[in-house]
Amino acid sequence: MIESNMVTKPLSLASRLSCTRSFREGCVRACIAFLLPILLLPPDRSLAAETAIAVASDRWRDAKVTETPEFRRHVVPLFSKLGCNMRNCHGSFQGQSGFRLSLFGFEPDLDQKELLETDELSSGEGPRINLKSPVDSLFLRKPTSTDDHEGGQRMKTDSWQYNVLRQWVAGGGQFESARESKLVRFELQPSELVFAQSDKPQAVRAMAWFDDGTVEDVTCLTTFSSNDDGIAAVSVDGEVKAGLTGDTAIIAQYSGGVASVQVLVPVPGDGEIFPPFPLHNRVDEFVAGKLRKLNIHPSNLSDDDDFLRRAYVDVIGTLPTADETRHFLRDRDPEKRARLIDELLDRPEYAMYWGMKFSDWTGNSKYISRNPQQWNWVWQQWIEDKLTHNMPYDEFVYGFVCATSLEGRSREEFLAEARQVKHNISGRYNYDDGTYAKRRTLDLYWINVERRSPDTLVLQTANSFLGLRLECAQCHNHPFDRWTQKDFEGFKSIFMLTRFCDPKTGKEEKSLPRGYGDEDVQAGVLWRYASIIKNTPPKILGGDVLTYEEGGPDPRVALWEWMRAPENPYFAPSIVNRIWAAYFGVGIVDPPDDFNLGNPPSNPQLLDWLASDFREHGFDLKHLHRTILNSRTYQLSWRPNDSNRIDNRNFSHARLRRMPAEVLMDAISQVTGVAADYGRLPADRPQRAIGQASPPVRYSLNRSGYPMEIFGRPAREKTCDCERSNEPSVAQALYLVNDAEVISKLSDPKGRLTKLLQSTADDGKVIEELYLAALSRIPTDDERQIQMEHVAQAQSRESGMRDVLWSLLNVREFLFIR
Amino acid sequence: MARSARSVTRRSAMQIGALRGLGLSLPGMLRLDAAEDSLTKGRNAIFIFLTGGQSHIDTWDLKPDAGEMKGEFGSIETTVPGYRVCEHMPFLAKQVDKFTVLRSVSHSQGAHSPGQRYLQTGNRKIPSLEYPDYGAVVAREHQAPKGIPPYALLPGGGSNSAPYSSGYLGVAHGPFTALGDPNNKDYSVRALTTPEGSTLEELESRRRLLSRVDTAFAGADVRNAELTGMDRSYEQAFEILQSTSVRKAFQIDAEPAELREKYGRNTFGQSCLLARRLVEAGTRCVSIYNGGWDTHQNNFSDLKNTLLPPWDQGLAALIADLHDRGLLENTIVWCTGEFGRTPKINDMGAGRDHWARAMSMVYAGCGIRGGNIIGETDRTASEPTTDPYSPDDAAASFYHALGIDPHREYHTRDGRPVMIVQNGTPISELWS
Repeated sequence: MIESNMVTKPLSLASRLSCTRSFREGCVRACIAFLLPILLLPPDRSLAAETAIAVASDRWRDAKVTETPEFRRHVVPLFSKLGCNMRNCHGSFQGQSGFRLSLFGFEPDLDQKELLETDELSSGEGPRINLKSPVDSLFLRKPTSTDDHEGGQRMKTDSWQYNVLRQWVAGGGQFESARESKLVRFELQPSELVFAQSDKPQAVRAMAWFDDGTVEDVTCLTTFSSNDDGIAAVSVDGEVKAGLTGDTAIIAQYSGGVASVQVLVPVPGDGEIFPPFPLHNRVDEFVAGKLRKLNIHPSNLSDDDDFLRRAYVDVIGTLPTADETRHFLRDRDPEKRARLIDELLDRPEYAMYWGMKFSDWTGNSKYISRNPQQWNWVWQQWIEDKLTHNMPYDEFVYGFVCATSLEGRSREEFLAEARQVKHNISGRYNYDDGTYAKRRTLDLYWINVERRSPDTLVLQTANSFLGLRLECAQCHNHPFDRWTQKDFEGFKSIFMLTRFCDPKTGKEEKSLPRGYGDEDVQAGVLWRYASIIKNTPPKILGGDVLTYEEGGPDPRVALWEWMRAPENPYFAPSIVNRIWAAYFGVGIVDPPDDFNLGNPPSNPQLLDWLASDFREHGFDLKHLHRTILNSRTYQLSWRPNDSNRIDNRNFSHARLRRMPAEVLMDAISQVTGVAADYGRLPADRPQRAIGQASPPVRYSLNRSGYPMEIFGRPAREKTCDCERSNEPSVAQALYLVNDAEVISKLSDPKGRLTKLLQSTADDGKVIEELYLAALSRIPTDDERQIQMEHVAQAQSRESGMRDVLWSLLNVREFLFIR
Repeated sequence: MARSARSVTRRSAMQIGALRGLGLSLPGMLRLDAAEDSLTKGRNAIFIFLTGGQSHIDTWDLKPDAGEMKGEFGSIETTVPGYRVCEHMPFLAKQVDKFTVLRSVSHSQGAHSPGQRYLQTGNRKIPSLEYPDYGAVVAREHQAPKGIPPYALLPGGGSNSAPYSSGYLGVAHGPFTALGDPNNKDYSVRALTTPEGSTLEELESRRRLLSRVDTAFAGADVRNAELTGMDRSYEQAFEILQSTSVRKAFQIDAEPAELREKYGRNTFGQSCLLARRLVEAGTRCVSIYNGGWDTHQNNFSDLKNTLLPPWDQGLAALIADLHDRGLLENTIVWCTGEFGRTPKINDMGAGRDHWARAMSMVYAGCGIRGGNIIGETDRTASEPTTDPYSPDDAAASFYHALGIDPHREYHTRDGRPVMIVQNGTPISELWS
């Protein structure tokens, strides 16, 4: 039969684990992340008199047991534990063999109904639940393999699990939400596991507090997974075994609750003392604190040339020139690194480069208009203006979240502005003169997402400013859980209050009138006073329902106030973490835009401190940059030592990262001395790839877009930082080794090499200049000699030197930030 | 029993099994069992994408009785008795016995971008996930010989704006894009040959130099995937550049002039020929994008004068040539646009507009039966009257022919599990 290879095979334990793993890694946890603050209310003080309940595996051990378990508290978690409601089992939206459970048991009421129902397909096999004779229930015969079960045997008839399910049926197969106890708190004990010099397994216990005042050890009903099996593997019973050195987290899920525990497997100590680690600032204190726990020694401070190149590329997306390098290397000022950092943060390329990153993070995509290029520019310029003036980050975000077109002005004033912008971008350079950039808010953000879908607004805003991935609620056509759904919809309602209007007529529109910028009449973003949201009142994620009234204040401001409030767990941490990740190649929370309970930070104290320091300094972005850049941690060498070689999440040494696509393109232009052609630009706008506002045109068989695309420049359509790719590919290597675009730059008559060969007779000096330009350092004696030999044996000095330059564009040291 | 011919889920198979007890036999399914053995031979693919959306009613699905919707074209006989195609497809008409025409594909994505991504991936476009093109998946599933790019993309002529993407599989699985027109006299491929014509000796000399000076990162972390991956990419790039078989494959002028003529001396025809050469060299999937089919205006004159002739000649020559060389046994050729076109002829100037509710496509090779005309549409080619197939089913069939389980699960970069084809089931009729 043709489908034979597609039928789900009986599940092995391994595949069941991978099923939980995919769950763990999947979008679901993002939902849980904001579901939980609601679900898990702060522990009620009245619970002081807790009643401890015996563990389920004891209570239902005896086959003669008569006690009835609770559905949500025992039965549904057991489904999860046994794998029944996983995505590739009955949790699939299509169900499995005609039987469907809600994914991960988020909808117990539906599950109970499904169990009581016997559809015509399974009529030949008997009822799922047989209240008269519980042991004849299909849902007991199948998982015990008494009846043929595609999913294999999940439990035995003489097990406590079987008794739990049987007793639930015997008790009438009931579920009534209000009559069952509710989970109010869920945590793992102990709060941290350290495997000091020992390979003995350690156990974690899962504890659950309920609103009836009881507390129960639910380890046997909890599903465990490890974020890195190589470092710590966890058994179904919560027994943790250490593997490689390092640290990771064990994640536990029970009845909608998620908890994690950090596991540390220190590097075996041989009496070595932690090396001297002079603290530059508090960042280093937190990093060293964690490294000491893991017995990982940090690398040495980087050499000046490594630091110089790294700081240039990371802060301004630009290589230092040969002169800048020489100057820095000669400088004897002990404060020269701090001075350089200040200088770089004041350069215009800072705004250009981080403007590019913020364009990535906020989705400055082709959706903005049918002629996106001009409007992508305008967007980028707006960001650059704010970054240049170092606008406080919360104010900056106000410009996105609370954007209006009118900004409190009259229609006429706004129209004058809009006409000016339109005139500018239709002019010689398709380039605004800064009229739009002076605006306080970026209504383009709303226009961009409006062109896609209302859900995109929610996804984009949650991702851009809160570091959350809420895709699950969008891409699965059925809600996981009513709270989550409600929250998502409520959050969406805030955005739905906003309407677009034709400022010429004042007519309000449900959606954007024909393209902003495409027509003479431009659309404005307003927020609408009408009471359009009846079913789902606007509600902040995991927070308050917003009140709004006709003529009253813009409810989006309340959203913004919630975001920037000191107690908001996402707003400051997410931007701090993103910027950190840009400097280290890995976030404290990683992926950097995936904050959720199943993905705890590798160094919570560090993240907390950075976030509060950022807040306390008035959301000062440059202060944040300076704090990170001046830390010893940022300035560590990439050269690993024996203890930190395999560490990739504790910042013990600098991680070698490939330059982003745009930076690499600019670097090639700069080193060869041949600028790329990105079209006609005003005199004050350099031909820089990092300043290109538009994402590459897809399917770019055209020239300028091709390298951008193969080196992973994002189209900014995915609301995910992962859209930018640093993955290597053969196409990249082919491009660098042999593409005409690169090769022709080597010997361009106006290029660096041609000029050098004319002005400098000494081959050694030419080689040195090329090394300084490409690698920001003086060549070693060996390198100088190898290159000299090559030139000497070449057909001509020119062709030999071309090879030298070619080799410098292809060594990994050029492609990577060191 | 329409359902059994279509997609057989396990449940319906059981139901059918029950019916068999009532005396109904299942010859189709049994034939499929036999066919499946030979399917595992499928290794190579040539995907021909007619971007803009080819008119089905003017090509494979003529409706002489459709009155004013009939259009301007007459019909000619084919090698399949009783089946007639457009009079401007004389070459394909003679090869119909070697391929299947599927006329009952129907979907609802009537705009170019979503329609193209749908037909390029077998999955309906969703905002939160970019699915990979067929070639990216095939390249990942079937290894190519050392030094051969597993997935190549050829420009097949015509204006074309269809995006390509390796989607969640990442850029590492992206195509080797052979830019340039293989019909040009001095055809060369971007990054494969340089304008100044650097020799292999020069390349080797540079490679030697590079290996001697690229030593600074010797002590770096070997677990850094970016770094080690880049090393591997360089190795593969040099293998490709120094591989005589790749260079040879692209030396299209080594083909006898007669054969080149047979494919048609135009971009599309020569891309088809190049596709065959690449498949022979070991490339697992060649995609050819042939544009210009968006005939909102001048549908008939454009089809007749510019669109149909090179396509008819090139595709027919490709199928015949693959057949003659025995390559059809393990190579699938699949030709489709993103949708069909409206039966109604518009007032804008004898054009037809987008129409996704009915479209036709062509399959050859990998055991797919020749001369098989599957599915029918109504009197005006507006909708299938037989059970409709979806682009998902069409894509699942393509993978199935290549021995790739279309329901195989990958993980996206952010860890989401996703099947190669989320909703489709192989079309058993293709092999019956």
